[in-house]
Amino acid sequence: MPHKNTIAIIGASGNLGAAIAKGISKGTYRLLLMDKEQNYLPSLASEIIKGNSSADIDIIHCYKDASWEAEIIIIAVPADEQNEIAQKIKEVATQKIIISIASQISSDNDLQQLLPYSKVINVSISVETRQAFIISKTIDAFIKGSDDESVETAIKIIETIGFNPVV
Amino acid sequence: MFNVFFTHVKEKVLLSQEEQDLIKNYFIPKKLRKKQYLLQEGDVCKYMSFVEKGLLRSYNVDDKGLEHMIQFAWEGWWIADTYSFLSGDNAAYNIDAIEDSELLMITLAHFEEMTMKVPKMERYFRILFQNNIISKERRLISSITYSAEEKYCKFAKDQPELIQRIPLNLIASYIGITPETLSRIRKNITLKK
Repeated sequence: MPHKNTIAIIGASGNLGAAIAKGISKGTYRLLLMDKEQNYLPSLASEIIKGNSSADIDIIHCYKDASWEAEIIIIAVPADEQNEIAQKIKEVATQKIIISIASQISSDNDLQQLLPYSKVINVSISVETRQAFIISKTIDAFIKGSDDESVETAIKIIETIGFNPVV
Repeated sequence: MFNVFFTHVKEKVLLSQEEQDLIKNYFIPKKLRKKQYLLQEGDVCKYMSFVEKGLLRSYNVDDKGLEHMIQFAWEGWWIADTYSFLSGDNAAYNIDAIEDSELLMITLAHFEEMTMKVPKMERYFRILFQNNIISKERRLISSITYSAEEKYCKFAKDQPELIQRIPLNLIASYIGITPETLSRIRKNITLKK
């Protein structure tokens, strides 16, 4: 069993989060699904495994545990929920890559201020919310981050998801 | 999350609260499940890892597919392929988890920065590396001079709790004998008692 990076997807029950999970599951990553709405996660996991029997996927019932086990954390939740999540994962997210994906281009994201010791990458997708779960190479994902190595990692993940990364 | 770590550090150097807070932010806290890899032979060892909870092993695999244990690391121990970590060359061995584990991992860049900002940590690591040299010497002496039974008895005496936690086939590999020989030795010891 080769070493795979573990990615936690927070907000995996949402349309965008679920689409991201399905996209990433095609890559060689281990996935941890987490959402405050957990009822939908088992069916999402089994849908992914049905499409790709080698997908390595787990459901985690706590923000902190999911982020603790992961090397990379993807946050796909509405902006007003980010603060609460940041507080919960803060101490287990130091020096980890955190990719915040949103379907609106928010002017200024303060996730980096909430998580000063994490490497925050902001990704905004150039579509409206209701279209965001249609993943395609023609949809641009704008990547912003200050740490070059983390941006490289984020680009690979965005490509795996199926968006067109734009730095 | 840093309990074992700071207890361990404080046995060697005294840190202020500010220094502890500073140090914490250099580490990546990571949970590893049983059988998951921390490092694979051929990859670069990017982190030095402190075991806060759990048990890991480092080992290499020979041409015949046989595993040879190099080191075990449990609560309070560091584990890495030091050469690969310092040089950036490929690792010569594997590290994986024998039990579900919690690690604190640090990169070389952050290791350098941390020891620069908190010079007490230089002293901590100097003591650690001294101890490491001694234990490597002892292990070498043991492996070239002791009989299999002596090696096992020494291991059992030095690490009594560990004997319960590590599968016997891994202990046999660490000592450099077959699992059959180890079970014969264990039977002999029981009979002598």
